Amino acid sequence: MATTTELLQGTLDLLILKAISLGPQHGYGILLRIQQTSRDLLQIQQGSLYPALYRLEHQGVITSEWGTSENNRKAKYYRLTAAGRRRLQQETAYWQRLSDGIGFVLAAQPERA
Amino acid sequence: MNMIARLRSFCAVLLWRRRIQREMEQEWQFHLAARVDALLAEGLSRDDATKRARMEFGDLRKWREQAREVRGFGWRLVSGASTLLWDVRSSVRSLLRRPGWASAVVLVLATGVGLTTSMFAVTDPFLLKPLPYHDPDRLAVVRFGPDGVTRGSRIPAFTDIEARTDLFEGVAAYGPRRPNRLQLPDRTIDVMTVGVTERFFTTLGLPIRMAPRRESPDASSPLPLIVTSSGRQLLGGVSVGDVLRGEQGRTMQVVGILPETFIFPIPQYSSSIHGLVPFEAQDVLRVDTWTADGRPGGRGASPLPIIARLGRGVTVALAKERVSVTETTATPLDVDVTPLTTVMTRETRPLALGAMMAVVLVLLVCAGNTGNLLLARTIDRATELSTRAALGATQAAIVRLYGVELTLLAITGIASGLFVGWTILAMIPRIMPEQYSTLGAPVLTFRVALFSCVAGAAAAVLAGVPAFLARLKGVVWRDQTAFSTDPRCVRHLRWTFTACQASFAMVLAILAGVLVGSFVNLTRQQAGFDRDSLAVAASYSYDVTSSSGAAAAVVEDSLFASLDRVQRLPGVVAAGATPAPVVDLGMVKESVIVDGVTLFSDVKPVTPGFFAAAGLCVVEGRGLNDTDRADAVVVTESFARTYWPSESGLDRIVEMRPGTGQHARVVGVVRDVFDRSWDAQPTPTIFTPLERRHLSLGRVNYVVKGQSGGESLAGSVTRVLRDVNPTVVVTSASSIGERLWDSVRRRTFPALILTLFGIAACVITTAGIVAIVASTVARRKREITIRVALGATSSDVRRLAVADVATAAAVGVALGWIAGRWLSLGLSGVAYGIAPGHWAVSAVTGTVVVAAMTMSALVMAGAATRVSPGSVLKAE
Repeated sequence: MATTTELLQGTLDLLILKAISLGPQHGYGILLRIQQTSRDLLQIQQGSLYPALYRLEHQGVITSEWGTSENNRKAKYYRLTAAGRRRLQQETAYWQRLSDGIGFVLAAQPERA
Repeated sequence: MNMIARLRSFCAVLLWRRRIQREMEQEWQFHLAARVDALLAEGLSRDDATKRARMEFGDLRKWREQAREVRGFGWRLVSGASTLLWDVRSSVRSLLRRPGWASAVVLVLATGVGLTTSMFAVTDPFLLKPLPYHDPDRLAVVRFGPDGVTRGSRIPAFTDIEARTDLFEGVAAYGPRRPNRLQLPDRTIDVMTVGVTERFFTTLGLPIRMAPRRESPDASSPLPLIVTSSGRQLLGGVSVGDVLRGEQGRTMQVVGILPETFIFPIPQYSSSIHGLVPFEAQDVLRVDTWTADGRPGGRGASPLPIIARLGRGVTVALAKERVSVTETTATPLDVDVTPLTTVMTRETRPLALGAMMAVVLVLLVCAGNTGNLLLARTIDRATELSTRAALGATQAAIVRLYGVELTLLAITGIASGLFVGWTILAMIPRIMPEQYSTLGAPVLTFRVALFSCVAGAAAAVLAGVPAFLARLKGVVWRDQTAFSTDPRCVRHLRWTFTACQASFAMVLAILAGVLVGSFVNLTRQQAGFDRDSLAVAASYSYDVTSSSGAAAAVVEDSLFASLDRVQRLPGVVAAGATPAPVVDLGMVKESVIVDGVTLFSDVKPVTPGFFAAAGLCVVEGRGLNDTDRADAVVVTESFARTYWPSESGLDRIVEMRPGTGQHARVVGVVRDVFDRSWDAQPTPTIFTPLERRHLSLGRVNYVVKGQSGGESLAGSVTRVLRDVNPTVVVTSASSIGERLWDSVRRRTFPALILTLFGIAACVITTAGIVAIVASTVARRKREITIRVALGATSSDVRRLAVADVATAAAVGVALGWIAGRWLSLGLSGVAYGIAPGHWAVSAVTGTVVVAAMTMSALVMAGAATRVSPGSVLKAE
């Protein structure tokens, strides 16, 4: 049995938004945060994070600025904008409904169907 | 969707693309460094950690590509622009390495575009551009002829036509042109005005209102004057409200100034009118002279035309049918209703179409030539293109590079062509007949420039597509190394291009040959006048009104006093005068009875000195002298030949002015003269002694023969006429040679244009053939050297160099010759004294063109015989 899970199409944006909502973070930090909070269940191909970050920035839901990392390197930190917070709420609600729906389907018993 | 964020991102990409790219790389470097640190902490060696970090990160190129994509249109735009800029730089460098080739392409395209620009500017108003009136398709000219009108009946009056609101929405009329002398503070000038009816402008759909007709003109009140743009130039910048003083206390007040775009809706008037005044005639349509058999005749027989705006749904045919039937005429009237557009463009449209056809042919020749040049370039670059392909350039990138190169050449060629066209347009008014500028002077407008750009681009695309396809298919660079000769598809394309060029050039050459032959015939035509020493001055006394005997007497006194003074001018040999036109399309026809038959003949009243002054050759009897009165006339040879074919015309009796009992004896027969135009066959004419009644219109033409040039004489005669009678307006003064040339400009101008086009096409084609031969020799040097070493003679080498191109040119010339002969039949309207399609003209023209092409090709092929084996081996 596999120990990691492939991401569903379109869920990377939600994960990034949630990771950033916990506090401003650079790209590598976002990756670690997702892995840690998912208890290493979700594995993201590292390079694919950046096109997603740039897309979200282009859409205006996150913003970036250069700062200094914990080991004193120059790093780019991302933070949520107001639009990003609204987007996170919407995406979360949507995911909850989807997950509930899928849960109900999976929990269905033969006599109820 | 956050539009502001997207816009900010778009602007950031446009402004800071490099910075964004740099920061992206920095960010990724940080990521990799952080990951390497983490892996080092896990115990991996630096090399292993670096490798693993890179592997986990994935394909950098892929992420880079995706990172650009997600930034939207801005990034794609900037990225495309950057690639394009690189292509442009590369193409410019490539073109600069072959300046001769690039200049040849630009020159050929510029020639084609330049000729297109100039000809389109001239012909556009007659072919495509609508007339500058509102809804011009509903404007028509209504003209009544003499048929159907008999004594006792009448042609509908202007007001009758105006009342036909079921047919016409608006009706307007205009009077004849009339000169007016005006006193400006610093000088006296003569302005040409025309009277127009009150609804003249509204009929044309122009928002201008003309002053109403004055029922009883009061000399003390100023005459309202609307000034045209040419009038404004002549008057030196008048403004509305200015009062201009005329002769005998008459004044004119400027009530309006017409824009430069205004065109008078009659071609003959459009360029010579300085102002418009209210129409004062009582009735536009009138017949006041009748022949013995009760038909309209003489002056006033041709009523003035009317300009009408047809009602909605009314066709020209319907208007004609309904207007021709009236209650007062027994038979339907002879009425002609013609669309105004036809009237305005009738004479020039066929020639304009011909000119545009010539333009298309020249453009095709240019396209063929450019196509050959591009093919040659493709072959020359075969190695370079193969190298690019081997280094990883995609076919799309190579094709894009080709497209950029062709675009650069096309842009330069078109821009140069527009400059050439502008230069030609600056010179063209000097040689262009007035009839071609009636709808506006040819200028380089945006519309003309746009048409030329499109035509030039079409020619460039036509030329570029074959070479483009050759590159696309990879035929050229794949086959190049395998053959010493050019690939087959290239040979076929070049053959086609050359044949087409030769064919089109031949067509133009034959058409030009017909017109040049026509021009030569014209110059050899004896006009019957002494072209070098004769001057003609046309004068007009504007105070004369019709049927005013007293005024005619003033004109007569002034005429003889002027003749007396002119004859005393130094260098003047003889002087005469006539109220009839001299080398002018106008004519005075009167009814006469010859041997019991009523004729409608040209009658020219002349002074006794006219024959000596005009240099008319008396072939029988004598000319008119001082003692002759109305009982003596002189007829022309054609008159005598027509009415007394087998007998002498001398002493015949002609009844002048039938019904008055005036009989005249023919005292002499003179040789025919081309007194209408140089190319119009003389009509049978009667010369009668000048009488006072002939001067009632106030027009007199003075004919003066001098010892030296007619041009210098014209100025002296003008001064004398003004000196003798200050009220006389000299409307024109020139040598008879000048008048004769002006009269045939409608033939000489197309001849000149088509000759230029023919020469341009032949030169371009010949240059193209020479270039192909030169290119063949340059590429096949090695083969030629080997052939020479194996015993090939000079003629063998020449044959090798020109074989392909000679076949193509021969086929093209043959086809062009046949097509040219057939197309030249369309020139019958402008050719003079020559039958279009005549074998001799076609044969001579064809021989000249073929000789020029063959000689040029053989001269260039001679270079092949001088190829040195040593230099070829050294080069290898």
